[in-house]
Amino acid sequence: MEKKKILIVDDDFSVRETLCDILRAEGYEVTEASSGADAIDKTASADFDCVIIDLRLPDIDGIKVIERMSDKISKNKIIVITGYASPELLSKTLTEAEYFLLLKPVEPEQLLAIVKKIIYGD
Amino acid sequence: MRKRIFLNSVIPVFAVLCATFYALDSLVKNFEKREADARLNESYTAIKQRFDENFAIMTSPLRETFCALLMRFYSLGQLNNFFVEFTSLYPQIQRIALIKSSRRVLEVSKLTAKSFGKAWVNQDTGLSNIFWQGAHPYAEFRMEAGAGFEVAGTIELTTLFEDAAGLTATPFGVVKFYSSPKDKIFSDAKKNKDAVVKVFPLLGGKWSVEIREDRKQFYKAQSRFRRKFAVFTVFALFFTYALSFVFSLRPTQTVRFTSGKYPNEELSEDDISLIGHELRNPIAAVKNACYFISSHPRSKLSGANIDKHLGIIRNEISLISATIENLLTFLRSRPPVLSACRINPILSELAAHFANKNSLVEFVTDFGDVPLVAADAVELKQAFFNIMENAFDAVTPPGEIKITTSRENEYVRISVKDSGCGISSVNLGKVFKPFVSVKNSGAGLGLAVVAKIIEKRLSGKVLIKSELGAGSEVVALLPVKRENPLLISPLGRGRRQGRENPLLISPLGRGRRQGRENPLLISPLGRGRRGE
Repeated sequence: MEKKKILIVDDDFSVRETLCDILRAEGYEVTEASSGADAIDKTASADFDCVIIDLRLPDIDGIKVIERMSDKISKNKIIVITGYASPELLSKTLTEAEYFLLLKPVEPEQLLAIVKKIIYGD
Repeated sequence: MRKRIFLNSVIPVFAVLCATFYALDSLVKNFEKREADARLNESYTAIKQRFDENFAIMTSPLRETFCALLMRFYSLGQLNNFFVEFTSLYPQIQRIALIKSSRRVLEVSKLTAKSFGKAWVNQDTGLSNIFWQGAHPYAEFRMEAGAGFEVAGTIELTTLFEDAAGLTATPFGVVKFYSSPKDKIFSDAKKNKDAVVKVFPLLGGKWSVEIREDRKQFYKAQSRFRRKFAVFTVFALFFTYALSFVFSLRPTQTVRFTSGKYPNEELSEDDISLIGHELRNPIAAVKNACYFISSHPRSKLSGANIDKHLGIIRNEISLISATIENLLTFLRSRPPVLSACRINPILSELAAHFANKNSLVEFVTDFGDVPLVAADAVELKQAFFNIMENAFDAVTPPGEIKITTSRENEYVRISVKDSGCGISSVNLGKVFKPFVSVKNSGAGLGLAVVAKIIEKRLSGKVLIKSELGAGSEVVALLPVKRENPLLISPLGRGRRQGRENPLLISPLGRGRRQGRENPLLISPLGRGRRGE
């Protein structure tokens, strides 16, 4: 069976690298992007079964990145991870509850469960 | 680096030049067009008037236009008498007029069969006018001879409006140029074929006969303007290059931490979420790495993989601890514990720490024989850790970080200079503000803490000089340990206590005082002596 593809968008090298290893060990094919523009480029040229994205990116706001890739990736395939705890900010930026939203630091088990749910259904 | 500066300054200047050019160009175009229109209208009115006056037969249709035939004849030799014969296969042309000439026209004729009309020379101006209808245009002009080598003139061809479009192209036909001795009239000369100097087909490429609609004259002016602009652009580019070169030699920008006012050390919601982000990121990485190592059976993990994740854990924990240290220092209000510190060893130790991280970043030290400084050793180390970390982050390996120490009056001067990316002038103004990071990452506390430690707690000075693309230099001035014993060692403090009012100092002093008989007396020393 073909490997399921996941895109990880995070500017923090260590977070990205460790997450990649975890997901690869689970048998996924993982692509990394370190900026919003990079992520948009990569979704334009390949299909992904799941996208894990940090809201705070160096170039483009994570929410804008999600909107720009929306024609390629449906919103229910996206997991948003944020280090901002402020609930006001979250309700402001994420009015539609279409994404899976997780707060940093994410428990890897929890993340893996959600990835599984997105890719294989319940 | 110079290339970047060059491009940075040339591109906007060039853009402005282009914009100026296009603005001027359209201005000139409009101006020239208006002028050409005005000229056209003027000649049009004049011709219509002449047309009406002199050629009543052609009252209908009355819509005429014209185009100009410019003829320039050069290097004709010594001529006594010459004339021009113009024939065209354009039946639409109904009037030929020599409206401008460098030679006086003596005679003009129209010799077309199956047509009727009128031809004459204006005695005042020496210019001609020929009108006809019903056949191909044909006109001959005899011009006044002279010692001149050149005849220049403009012949106007007039036609109906609806046929005017055809005239924008060169009309078929020929221009013949004759010359003859003074005593012979031109018709004789024409009969003797040898009198023909030249025959110029109107379609020939060599001959400088141009047919242009007057309206289009302005293109000439425009092309002249373009040539001037090209020269101007080359000059401007050269000038810009020279400027950018001079600019690159300009001293770098400097920002001092001189505000003297420290921000209210209460954290806003935004500050807290920024710190949260800065702490949660490394914690997330540590969590992930731990999970990765623990969730796999040891046998499946390679040594390299474990090392990599352990390395990440180590790095991220030191990041977390640095952020926490900075935050604590930023919020701390207890007075510093001053002691006499040797600055050079602290700097060497820090340099070695960063040099270990990447062998491509070279640390060059030039330490002077500097006196001790009065400082809190832990905080001093933290301040220079932050300064060197910024320098280290700014450098793209391979690069160099130079650390120098020297004495400057009552201060020890420490400079940390990197060959990194530099800071733009906009960002340079913000570097000392807390919770504002001009890097891509970080809580923005590094230099704020440096400023707090050096300026507020150690009464020193700190400034940063930077040039985008060339690097930054942080200069710190720390006060030299003075002979004021208060600032130095427990030993010194003891000496001081012995001299002054012991009430204000230490338990030791107080103890001594309590031992005396009369506690009401002021100086225990003096009192004691007096009491004895």
